[in-house]
Amino acid sequence: MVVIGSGLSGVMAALRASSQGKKVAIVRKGWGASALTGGIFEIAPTQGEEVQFSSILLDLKQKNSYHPYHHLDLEMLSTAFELFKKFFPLKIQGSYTENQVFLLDTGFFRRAAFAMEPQFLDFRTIGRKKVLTLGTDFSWFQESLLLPQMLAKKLDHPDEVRSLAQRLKSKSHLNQVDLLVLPPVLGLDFFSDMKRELEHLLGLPVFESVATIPSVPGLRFQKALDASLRKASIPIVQGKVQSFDHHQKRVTSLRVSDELETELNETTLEADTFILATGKFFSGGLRKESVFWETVFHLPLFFENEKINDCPPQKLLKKKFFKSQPLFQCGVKTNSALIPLDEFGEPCYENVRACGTLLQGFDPAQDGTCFGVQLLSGYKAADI
Amino acid sequence: MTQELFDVIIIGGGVNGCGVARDCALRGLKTLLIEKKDLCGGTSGASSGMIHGGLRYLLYDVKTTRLSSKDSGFIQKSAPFLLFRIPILYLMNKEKGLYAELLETFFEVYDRYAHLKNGKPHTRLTRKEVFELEPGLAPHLQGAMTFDEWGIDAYRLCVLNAKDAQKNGAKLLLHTQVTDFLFESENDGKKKMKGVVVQTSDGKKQNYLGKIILNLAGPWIPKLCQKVGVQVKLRPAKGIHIVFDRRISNIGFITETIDRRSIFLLPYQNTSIIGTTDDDFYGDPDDLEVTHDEVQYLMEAIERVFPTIRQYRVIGTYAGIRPTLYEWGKLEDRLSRGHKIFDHEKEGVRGFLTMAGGKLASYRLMSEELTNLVCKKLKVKQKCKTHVNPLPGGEDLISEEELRDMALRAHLPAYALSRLYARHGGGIRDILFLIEENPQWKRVICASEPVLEAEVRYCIDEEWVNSLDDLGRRTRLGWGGCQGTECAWPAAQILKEKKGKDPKEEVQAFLKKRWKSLMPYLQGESIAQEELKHRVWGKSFEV
Repeated sequence: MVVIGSGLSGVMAALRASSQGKKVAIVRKGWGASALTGGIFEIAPTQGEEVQFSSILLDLKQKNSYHPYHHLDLEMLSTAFELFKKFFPLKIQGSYTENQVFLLDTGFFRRAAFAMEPQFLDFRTIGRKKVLTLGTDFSWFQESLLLPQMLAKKLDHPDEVRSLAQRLKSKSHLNQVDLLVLPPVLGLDFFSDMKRELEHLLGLPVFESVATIPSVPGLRFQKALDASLRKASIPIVQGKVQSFDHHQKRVTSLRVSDELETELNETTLEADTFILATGKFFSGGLRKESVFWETVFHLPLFFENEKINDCPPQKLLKKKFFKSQPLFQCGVKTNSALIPLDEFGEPCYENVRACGTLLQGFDPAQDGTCFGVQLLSGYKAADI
Repeated sequence: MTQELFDVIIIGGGVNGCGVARDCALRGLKTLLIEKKDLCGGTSGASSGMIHGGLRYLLYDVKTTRLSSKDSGFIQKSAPFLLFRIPILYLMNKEKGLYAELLETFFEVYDRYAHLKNGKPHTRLTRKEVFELEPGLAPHLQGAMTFDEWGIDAYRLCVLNAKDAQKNGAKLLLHTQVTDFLFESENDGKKKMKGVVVQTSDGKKQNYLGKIILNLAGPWIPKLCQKVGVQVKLRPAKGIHIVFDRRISNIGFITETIDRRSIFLLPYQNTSIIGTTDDDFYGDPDDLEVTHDEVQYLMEAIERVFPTIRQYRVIGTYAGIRPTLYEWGKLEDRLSRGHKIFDHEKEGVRGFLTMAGGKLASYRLMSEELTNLVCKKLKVKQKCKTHVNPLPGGEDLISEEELRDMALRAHLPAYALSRLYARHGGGIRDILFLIEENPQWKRVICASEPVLEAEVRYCIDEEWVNSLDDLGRRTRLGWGGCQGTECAWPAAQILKEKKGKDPKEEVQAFLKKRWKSLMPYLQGESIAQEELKHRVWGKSFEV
């Protein structure tokens, strides 16, 4: 099996196939949107008073026939996640049944099912505890004039953590608070150790807020995804798919070359099954030039039932910025085996499966199901 | 208590309003400027940002070419830091023959005006020379004429004029709209305008009395005249620009559209712009939208001479309305860019004057002309000083070496300081002083520009900043590659601290505006950037 894309859904598919004894390789041109996660993971939105996922998910599955959940088995979520966690080196905590409430670095709250270790502070549970929250404008962070990623790298050293602790002690009355929330910059590679170190120095539990702009938690997450591939001995082929061969309705091979290399170094990858997990526009799975196109297999793209490859983008836009935009919901349409379909409902290629945010019918940024769709569709795609 | 009586009340805070306010204040007139939104928020801000001679007017409007070339020279003296030279290629499809000779003759005539604006005379380039300069051009091109023009930050030009006016005693009321006029009857049956009624953004109404009231409202001129019961007929024309995330080339190009109009692709500050369209406009100047067609029309023309243009990332578009003087039977392009002063006394209203038409490059001269008339009416004998007095920041210029030294001393990148200097001139000393007192204000708020926290604070304190939008006009914050994705929130925090503005509302309003400006042309890398922005901000304020 060849998986194209090394974000969450691609890695999930590769891990499942590999654990079933298949020979798997991942090909990728670089990091995509998974490297932008803020540190929290959504399965379902909270709707009004209803907090239990079971009924919300059932509702989504039944009423929205375009949503990827419609043909995925939601019962498999915990099975998929448990398999994923076997290889994934970071701690992700949370609940399969209801949303927790997490603090963003902008000061707003957001609901999500799971969070990575430093972000895991569920504000519903803190009761009357006093929380001190620091922004990136805290003097110790500002003096170095570093971007968050570089600040995190700097805080991979215990000496720097000690210096931060000293400043915190001198500037704020730590004895009056029960919890400390820092911006997400506390270490890049050794953040668990650094968190413990800071907690030890201050005598307080320390957490990080959830990142809004692309930054440190996303880098930690993607590095951990790469590590899980290594752990499962799944090779990564660095490069971009330039073209593919097919015999009738079966893709036979991909030609991949690394554009960053000076010498043209083309690799041909043959496989029984190809998993497309290339993401949407930001990750490079979709592109709009004179028309919209899916960049690997040139698959037809859809918004709901309408094929949009030739559609002027203005038709897919809503005037209000904060509305969910059809442009960001469009993608590949599949059957329940995740095989991409054309406008007549026929499979495009029988041995291709699509998964992750590339799928049409949901808005990964807004509808609160992104993590669930990525895990489940990645898991399902490898079910050959 | 008697109410304060102004000599002049100016309606409109565009480049003409600010220019006239400065001129009046410098001549000692008691001056009030009223602007319904922000300084440079209408036509002036939507211009191409060039103090140019107007090559395309040379054929049918020589007077405008001469006047704007000459005035360009004066503006360069009063605020040299605001200007940047843009070398331009006029692209040719044929290298030799009658066409080329005629074109060269045309440029020889334009050369006569070049020295007025410190421009260089033209040169004629062969095909080989053109491709050495810019290999990205289409292979069918056969040569080019070179000339140069001056770019200017029109927003800064307005603000600096307004600051100088204020320094010399003028009063400014922004976000304040004129809702009515006050009159008194005179013996000869004519009316004398004695003041205006204004409404501030929070709904409060107030009267202001003035001896002479000037209507410098650009596209809104007819609306105001209607309220007064007089008439100024304009032939308003819409023009749009497309903005790219980077300097695609360091040279500008001029080429022709499908209907043989001249348009350009120019490096502009740290972006590139394509402009412009010129179409009769019958809509509401408060509700402008760039259309997909307008963008495609410009893109199509540039693509013919610069084939890869669509691969670059568009970060926005903007539209403005030229308040051109009324003429029947001419193509929009051929309308005169000249200006005219209307004294409404003939129509029975004393003390009310309108100035319409003109172009950015001739604002100072127009302001001088109108102020001369005002002075004559008020029997004030002061002479104009706007062509000799420096604008704020131009009094005490800083050389490049000095700038580098200052950067070293302040531990700031030289590039950041050079951008700061381009906006504030000698005024950067005040900003560096803020940094000396508060080293943490070195923080970069907008990385595209860059804009430092100290500059944000300085502009809020000194330059009538009330919103993120205003801040964009003062500093270009949020106008670069990320279009506010990273900078809107921290900037809104500072606005909250200093002005009590709700950061959520500020960021929402800013992002909505940016979205609207990108909607007409969303493709390629622009979509990826917008997807990211929606991911970052789309749901941020929900819970």
